[in-house]
Order: sequence, then structure tokens, then C-alpha cells
Amino acid sequence: MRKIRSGTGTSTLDDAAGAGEAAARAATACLEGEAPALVLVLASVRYDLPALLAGVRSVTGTAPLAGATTAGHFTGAELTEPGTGVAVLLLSGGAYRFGVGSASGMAERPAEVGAELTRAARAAAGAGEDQPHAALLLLTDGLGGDQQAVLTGVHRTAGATVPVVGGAAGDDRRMQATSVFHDDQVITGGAVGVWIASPRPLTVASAHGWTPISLPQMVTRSEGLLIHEIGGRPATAVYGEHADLSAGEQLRRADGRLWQASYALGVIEPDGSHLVRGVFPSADGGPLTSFTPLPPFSAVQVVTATPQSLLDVVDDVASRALVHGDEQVLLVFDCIARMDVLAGDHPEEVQRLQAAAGGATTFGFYTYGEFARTRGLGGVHNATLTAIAL
Amino acid sequence: MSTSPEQRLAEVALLRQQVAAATTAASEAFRDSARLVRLLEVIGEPAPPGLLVDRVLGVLSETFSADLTYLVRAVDGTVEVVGACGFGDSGSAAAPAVPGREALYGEGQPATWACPAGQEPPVVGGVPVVALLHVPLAEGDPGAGALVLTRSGGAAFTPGELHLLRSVASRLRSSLEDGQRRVAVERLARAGHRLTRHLHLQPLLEEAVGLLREVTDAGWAAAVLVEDGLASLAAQDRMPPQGVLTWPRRTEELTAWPAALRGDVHHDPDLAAGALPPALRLTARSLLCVPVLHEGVPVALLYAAHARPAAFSPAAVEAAALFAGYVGAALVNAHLYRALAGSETRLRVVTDAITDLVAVVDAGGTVTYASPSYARQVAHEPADLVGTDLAALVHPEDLGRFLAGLRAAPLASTCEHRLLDGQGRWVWVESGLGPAPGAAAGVVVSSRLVGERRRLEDELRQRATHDSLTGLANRDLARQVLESSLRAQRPGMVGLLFCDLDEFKSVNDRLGHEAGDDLLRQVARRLRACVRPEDLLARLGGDEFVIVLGGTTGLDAVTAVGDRVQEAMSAPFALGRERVRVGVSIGGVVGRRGPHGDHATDLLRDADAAMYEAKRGGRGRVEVFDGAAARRSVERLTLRSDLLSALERGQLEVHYQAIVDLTDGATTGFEALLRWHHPDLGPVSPVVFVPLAEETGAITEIGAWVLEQACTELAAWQRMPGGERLSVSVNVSPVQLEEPTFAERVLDVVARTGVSPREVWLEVTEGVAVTEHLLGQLHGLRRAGVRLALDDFGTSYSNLGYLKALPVERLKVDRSFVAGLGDESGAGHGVDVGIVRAVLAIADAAGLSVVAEGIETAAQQHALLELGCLVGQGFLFARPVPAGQARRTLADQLERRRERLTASPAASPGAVLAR
Repeated sequence: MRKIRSGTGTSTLDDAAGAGEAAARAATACLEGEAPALVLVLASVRYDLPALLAGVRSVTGTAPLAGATTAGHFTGAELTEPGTGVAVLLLSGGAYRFGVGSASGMAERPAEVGAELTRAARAAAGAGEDQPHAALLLLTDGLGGDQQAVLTGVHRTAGATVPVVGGAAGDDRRMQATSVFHDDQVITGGAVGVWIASPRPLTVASAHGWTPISLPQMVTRSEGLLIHEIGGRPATAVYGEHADLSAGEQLRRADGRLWQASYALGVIEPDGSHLVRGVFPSADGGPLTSFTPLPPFSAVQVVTATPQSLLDVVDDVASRALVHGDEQVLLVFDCIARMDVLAGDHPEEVQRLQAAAGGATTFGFYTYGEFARTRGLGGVHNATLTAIAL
Repeated sequence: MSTSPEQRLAEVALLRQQVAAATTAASEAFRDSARLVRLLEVIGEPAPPGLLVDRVLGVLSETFSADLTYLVRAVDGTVEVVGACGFGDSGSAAAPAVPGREALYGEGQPATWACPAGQEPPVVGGVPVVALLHVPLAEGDPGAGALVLTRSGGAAFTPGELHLLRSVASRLRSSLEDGQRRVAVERLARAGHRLTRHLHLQPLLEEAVGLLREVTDAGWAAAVLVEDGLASLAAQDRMPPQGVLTWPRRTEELTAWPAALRGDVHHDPDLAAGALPPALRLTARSLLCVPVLHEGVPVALLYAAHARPAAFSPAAVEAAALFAGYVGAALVNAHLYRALAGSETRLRVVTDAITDLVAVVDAGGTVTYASPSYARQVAHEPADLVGTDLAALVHPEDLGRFLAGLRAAPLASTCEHRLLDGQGRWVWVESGLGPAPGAAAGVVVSSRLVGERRRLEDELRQRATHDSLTGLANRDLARQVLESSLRAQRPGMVGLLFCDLDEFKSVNDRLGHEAGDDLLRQVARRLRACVRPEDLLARLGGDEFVIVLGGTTGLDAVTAVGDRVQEAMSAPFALGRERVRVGVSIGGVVGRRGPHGDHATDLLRDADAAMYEAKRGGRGRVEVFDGAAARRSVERLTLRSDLLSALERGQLEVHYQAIVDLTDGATTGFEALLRWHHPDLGPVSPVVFVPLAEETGAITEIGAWVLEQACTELAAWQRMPGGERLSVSVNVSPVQLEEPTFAERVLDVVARTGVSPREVWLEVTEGVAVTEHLLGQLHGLRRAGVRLALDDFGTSYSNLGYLKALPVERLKVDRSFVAGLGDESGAGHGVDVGIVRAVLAIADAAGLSVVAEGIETAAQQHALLELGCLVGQGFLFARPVPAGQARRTLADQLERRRERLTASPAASPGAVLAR
């Protein structure tokens, strides 16, 4: 199979257009003259995004462009901390065909958004008989609304044979506004998808690395973000039975640096996975407060992860994604929850990723949620690492 | 006992295993309950069936990590995919064929399947099927549907998962049915709304079939009209062409008919062989038929059919039945609407056509409605009238009555009044006022133009009160005017003049009726000129006219009017080329006004009597009425009628007056004179009653009776010794002489009584008309020997030619001339002497004898003798006496004569005188 060529570039210039142009120019150099078939842009919300895109497109021209704002991104072994810069990935087509589609109105009609962008991206890709397989790269507004509904819309349009990978855009942890990019457009409250038509099946890999440490129990009383009772007993008490409510268990790394174990509630999903939900207890033994509302009658387990356990999944994901071994790029979507738990050691994760990717170049960002739909309709994850290799 | 570290390790490992297993089990249990919650949540949310299926399949895909999820239905060995998730939007979904489990779908049983290791898994839609789960919604009923889940990898479906889904399957089924029912209800509601738009049958049915097809999700639908046992296709929606060919059909042939008669739905989920032709069977495996009832009888059948068997869910059947009810209601609605429109049209036709003006006014008299006829009849646009005061159009003089009628509402009343029309003219209308229907205190004013009617009424009144020929008032009006004039409180008296044309009949006979009419008109004109405007001139009919004088001073004034009329009538009338003189007899009377005054009836009668008197007195006279005349008139009329029966009542008597020889006073004969003794009035003078007898014709009988009496007496006298030469004179009326059998009867009487005709004298007056007939009678009598005398000679216009024409032998000198004799101082003495001398001379010349009448004094006797008249009669000698007395007197006289003759044979005439 004809391989794609990839080129990546970064910039931390303050000027948006300048940064975009610089990153794009750097990426172009690696393509060795081939015209890009796809441009992926990851940027901090610090920039004037339209100007940034204009700068990128001043180099890439009319090549299809997709992207998102991030809470930090990385390429190769290079980590761009949140709020600093922009990264650009250029891909030549090779045996793949790419098409980008987008739609807005995610808050009002998320399923239609998913269906629309999928149709548009599929049509734009224009796959022929040489590309019987496909996957969809999905980037959504991280604060936009019902992520699963968007994914449902994608699934209804694309079908079970098309795996979905991607993430929800971030905004350097500001939790204010995120955006996705389609060509020269900065879309807020919308989503963008890249249809990847491929001659061979594409694989989406994901793992989270959290483990349950308690018996499953049911949240018997909750109110919005407050969890009052678990299993008929005060939530904090139940939580406290398993989680160290003090600063956290100190663990020592091999190199002597201190790691901390983290605790969270893992909501038992119907498909058996855990949706990791960070909670923090109230001081006086009152209710637990969750970051997002829990589904009613949720079954939960107290889950824990250590930086090690999180790092450990990197190799697993990478190896599962690099099915054939000749992939040139590994697209990675990493949850900020992992960054939180890694507590400053996330550069190590980035290193490790690239190391695991081998000859493929990593390109990814820290997201507000991840997509990994392989079986069934569901595929929205938290605190998870997902990847696809091209 | 102590355990070894290895044992402890083994224990711990075992415990770990157990804990892990328990944790796993608990985890799975919670996971399953989470799945259950999600499923129940989505099943329980009301949604249309299609959306519900989508959501359920989505949740199944999500919670069971199933690549493909389906809702399938197995019918007749084919698997129909009702819904699927995982195929995207491109390919059509097909249920996976399970190798080795081909009957899986048809069995309708819960099952799982895993692809055996090493075997190539079937691929559906590009997705390999490594594991499959099948859960029917109703176990044993593949037609009810089944959930199918497939996985392309990972774990196979566990019994626990199967169990979980079985527990929700029936709930899903109910939810789906509920959803279907909800959809049907919604469609029905919309359908009902759309049906009621239609007011005509054909468009209604055409809409109905489309709606029925939607409501029941049918392949095609049709509407069939039923009438008189024949069902004909009225409308269809997507009916296959072969289906159309089978109509019309007899209702007995329809399989749905028995149910329709009961008002029931006919539902056949699978038409095997049967009434349908083979071609139709392809497109109609499920058949639904609902009757549309009108008053309990099926008037139409609605069909819905589907190519698939058991296509109609209970919800669809229910919906179809409800729909048929809607159609029935829409039919009734349309029928009622058409009836209403028809009656409204008829009402409009009526209100448009009625010529009456109909207005509705509110309590204040303001017009709230005016009919179109206002525009047609009185040029008022109804729109302009609404809001105005109707009373403003009413004539001021009639307003009071009109308003009274309005105020009297709700009591009904009528009022004739004038209405101002749109052109400013007053027209007469008759308005009926009545309460307006409804709550408001309105009044309905229904008016009719009566101008024409009034004109006709006036004309009729005119005709009823006026004579059509002359235009004068008629008898009725004259009477009315007379009566009201008498009642009026005015000074003066009321005068009345009856005017009767003389000899009008002869003019009519001679010149014809047209000339007669013309004459009447001319007379009317002349009479009009004689009366004042305040007097009334009327024609009573025939040739009678009457004048009512509204205020007169008395009889003299009345007479003056009469004289004026006579003056006016004196000039001849021009009738065609003729000039005719017509006289008028006028009778006048005066009446007093007031409560104690005269009555119209009396005045009319009196005027009539006076007029009659005028006529009797001669033509062209004016007679005014007086009391004596009234009495005479009454008496006359009374006497007339009494006289008719006087003879049979024996009230009549014949008296005899002696006719004597003037020289010696010897009786030569008697004159028979008729006397009438009225039971109430006493003796009635012959001067009065003879003319009455002549008028009534009774004179004939009476005259014959008198003659009979007279002859009988004569016979008796002649039997007396010395009386053999006596004669009797009987007066004969001209009326008697007109009798054709008069001579016969006279001779008959003479013969019966046995007297000699030569002693019977008939006295006729000069007034008799000399006709052939009369001469024949008289000559016949003369030939028979009867003697004739001419009575009252000289009193009327004597025609001496009479003496030559009539075979008379005696003249009787009237008493009026005799009265003047003997009294030389009398005024007419000389004339009377002359006349008598002349009469005697004429008689002598004609060879006639003479009898003088009315001799009352000896001087008259002496004078007559000197003149040469030898015979006479009168009170000097004898008065008229009854037969018996006459006989006795005669007998005495004859006795004395015999005595004298025997005593003294030669007596001188002077001796007679001395006696």
C-alpha cells in the first residue's frame, strides 16, 4: 500500500497568523514536495483563531483542514503546554482519501450535527472501490452538549463498519469556550469530522488504566451534581472507605519523585466499561460533588489510578493501534484527567507515546472527552487514551 | 491448627479468586441493572412506533455493544426487517442468515448463537456476525416481531443477557402497540378534522380513502357505496387495477357484509383462498373492512388492505373502526349542511321573493333587519335602513297608531299607514306587528302595499254606492245619505224628491235600449244642474231618480226644486236623430231632523206616494206630500189589498137607485151601484175603491158579480105585478170591457137569470178606449139585445165620434151639469142649461134617450122637464138602497099605482108632482 507522507510543525509565536504560517511551513518541509491531502491543526485558544487558520492556509492553500482548540497538544515527543502554541499536521493522501465535513448547532440538535458532518465528510472524501474501509475522526465542541448524541448521529449515518475516533476540543482548562476548525472556519458549538477512506480496515484503540477498588454499589440518592447516598449510606462515608481522603497516598517513583494515587468514582457503563468521574468530598462528611451529573441509579465503584497505571496503558494503546506496523502517523486523543493525575509528568507520557509509536509520528491533544466507537452505538469516554494509526 | 504459608497462600489465592468472581458477578449484576434502567427508560418514553424502535435499537447497540441490532418479523418464511441500527444510511438492512439455524426466526423463540470456532462467520452489511441473540416480543409468535443483536467480536451473548432482554420484550411490545395506537389516534384526530371539511359525498370519500390508508398504514384503501343491495366502488387510493374490475357487486357477495350489517369491523389477517380473485390476493393478504353507518344502516364500506399478512395491528383495527365513525359523522354533517343550505336557500328564495316588506326593529324602534323586498317595493336599500328609526318613515298623521302598535308588542297588532318610499312618495301599507323570535325584545314589522287594494276598495265602494250608467249615487247611498242627514245636528229640514220619468217605457220600446240608456244619462245631467253641490242626486233604478236636499226650509222650497226639475225636463231630448219629449212626475216630502224626527223609511215611502199621486194626477206634475195624502196612500194600499178579498168576505153589496119618469116619478128601473162596507173603515166610497179594483183587476170578478146580482134582482122585480117593464143599469169598467170573454159572460148571466137582455143596460164611461175588440164586444151585446148607455156624458174630453162608433142608446147627463139647473142665480147656470140643452139635442139627433143624474131639487126636475129630459135619477126621488129595501119600495109603489089606477084611471102628471 502506498504510504502517506506526514509532516508536522509547531509554533509558539504570539502572532496567530505568524504562528500558523510558521507551523504550517515547518510541516510542509517534511512532505517533500507532495501536496497535502489533509491538514490537522491543534491550537490554543490564546490565538485569534481565524487569523491563525488564515496563516496556516496561506501555506496549505485549499487542502482540507480540520482541527480543534486544545488543553495542550503534542507532536512527536514535543509537548505544547496548554496556552502556548499551535501544531499542524500535514498528510498526503497515499492510499487514503480524506474528506472533511462539519456542522453546528450541537446544543440543539446533536444527532443531526453528527449525521450532517458525517455525510459531508464522506461525500468530500469521495471514496472509490479502492477504499472499501473507512473510519471517522470526530472533533467536537468540548463544552457543547450531548457528546453521545453526536456520536449516535455519526453512527446512524456511517454504520457499524466505520469506527469513530476523536476527542472533544479543550480550551486550556478555562472551561469557557472551545472551537473546532473546518477549512477557514472556526466553529463553536459544532463539530467537525474527517472521513478517512482506507484500503484496509482501520482500528481504533483505547484504554484508561483505572481500576476499581470497591464493590459495585448503587447511587441511591443524588441531586444534580451532589451525590448524597451510595448504597443507602452517606456517599462521603462510602467513598472514604476506599479513597484516602487526605492528600492522597504518597507513592514513590523509581526515580524518587513522588507520585500520588488518585481516586474517583467509576460509573459502571452498560457495556462494562467505567466512566471515570472525578469527585471531591465535602469537608464535613456531606455529599460528594461530581463534575458532571451522574445518570440516575448509577452503579458506581470507587476507582483508582496511579501515574504508573496511566502510563502503562500507553504502550497497550499504541501497539493495538499500530496494527500493520507500517503506519506513518499515530493520532492520539488524551484526556486532561490523565494530565491531572500525571500531575506534571505528562511530558513523560508524551515521550512514552512517541517511543511506543516507533516509526509513526504521534500527533494528538489533551481533550475534554474522547471518542472510541468500535462496537455498538456507544463510544464516549473519559480519562481515556484513544488512538488511530494511519 | 496451623496452616502452612503455602496453604495460606493457596487460601488467599482462592479467596482472591472468589472475591474476584463475586466482584465480577456483582459488577455484571449492576451492569445489567444499568442496562435494564436504560432500556426501560427508553421503552417507557412515549414515542411514535418508528422512533421508539430506533431508540430501543440504539440503546441495545450501546448497552450490549452490539454491532447490528434489529427488530424483525418473520412471516411466511420471510424475515422482514422492521427496524435496524448499524447499517448507517446507505445499505438496506437484511437480517443475518444463521448457518444451521435457518428456522431460528420462524420459531419465535428466544435463542443465542455463536459462530463455531474456525468457521467463517456470516457477514451482513460488511459486519461479520460472530454472535447473535434473538428475542421474540411475543414468544411463539414470530409475526409479532423479535429483537436481534449481533456482535462482530468480543464475548458471545450470555444467558443473562438473553434473560434480561426477554424480560423487557413484552414491555417493548406494549410500548410499540401504545405507540401505534397513539399514532393512530393522532392520525385519526387529524383525519376527522379533514373529513368535516367536505360537504359532498364524492370528495369526502376520496379524502376518506387516503386518510384511512394513512391511519392504518395500509397498502391500499377503497370506499364502496351501498345502495339497494348493490355495492359500487366510489373511491380508491393505490388500489391495484385488478381490484377495480371486481366492482360493482351485490352486497351478499361481500364477505364483509354480515359484519357490516351488525355494524362490526371485518378483519381478516390472512386471506387464503377466498372471495378475492388471484390477482388481488397478491396485494391484499391482510384485509380490513369497516362499515359507515347512517342511522344504523351501512351506507358505505371502507376497505384497507396490505400485501403482508397480519399487517393490521389491533391499534390499526381500532383506528379504522373509529375512522368509519368519523366518516359517518362527516356524512351526517354534510347531509345536514346540505339540508341547511337547502333550507337556507329556500328561505332566501322565500325572503327574496316575498313581496311583503319585513323589518325587525329592536326595543327602541331601530331597524336591525330589512328584507330585500324593501329595495324592490319601496326603493329603500336594506343596508341603508339598518340602524335607522323605522318610525321616521311613517306619515305623521299615522304615526300615533303605528307607535301604539309598536308599544303594544309583544301583543300582535295591525296598522294601516302611509310609508315614505325611497323616492319621497307616500304609499299606503298595512303593517302587521308581532314579537320577533329570540331573546331580544324586538318587533317584526311585516308590511304590505295596499295602495292597489285601497284603490279597488274605493272603486268597489263607488260601484256599490253609485249607479254605473249615470255615475249618480245609487239607492243604498241615497238611503245612507238620507239617514245621516236626518241624524245630523244641523238647522233646517231634510227634503226628498222622487222623480219618475213619464212614459220612459215607450221611449225604450220605440227607440231601443241604447237610446233609453242615453236618455237616462242626459236626464241625469239635467237633474244635476238642478241640484246644489251639497244635495245628493241619485238614481234608484229604472227611470226613478231621487234628490236629497240636505237643508231645506219646507215644502215650498221642495216644490220649488221640483218645479226647477220640471223646467229642466221640458226641453226635448236629442236621441240619435230623434227629438223626444219626456215628462217627469215628481213627489216631494220634508223630514224633520233629530232624535224625534222622521225616519228615512217613512220619508222614502211618503215621497213615493207623493210621486204616485203626481202621476195619477196627470203627467208632468209636482206633488208634495201631506198627511192626508199619506193617509190616503196608506189607506189606498190597505184598501187595495182588502178589496181583493172583499167579495169573498161578503163585504160588498149592491145598492139600487131608482131611475124614474120625471113626469110622474114612476120607477122605470134601477141603477145598480156597488157598495163596500170595510170592517174597520166603514163604508168606502166607490170613487176610491173602484179605481183600486180596476188597478188590481178585481173589477172583473166584482163586476161580474154585480151584474149577476143586478140581473137576479131584475128578475125578481119583473115578477112583481106591474114590474114587467123595469130595467136595471149596471156600470161597466173599461177594464171589464178589455176582457175577451166579457160579452160571453154578460150573456151567460142574462141567460141564467132568465131576464130579457133588453132590460139590461150597461153603462160605460167616456174614457174607454175604442178598439176593434171593444167594438166587437159591444156590437155583439147589442145584437144580443143588451142595451148600452154612455155614462158621465160631457165630463171629460168628449169625443163625439164615440156616439157614432159605439152602439149606445142612452146618454146619461152628468150630475155636475144638472146641479147648475134650477138655480138661475148660480154662476154656471147659463152654461149648464146650454150644455144640457146641447146634450139633449145631440141625443135627439142621434136617436138616443137621455137620463139625467143627480137630481136633488124639484127645480132641477122642472128645468129638465122644460128642456125635454124625461128620465132621471137622484136623491130627490130615491137614494141608493139595498136590494131588499129597493124591492119593498118598488112593491109599495107598484101597489099604490095599481090602487090609483083602479081608483082613478086618468091621473095628471101634476098629481105625481104633488105627491
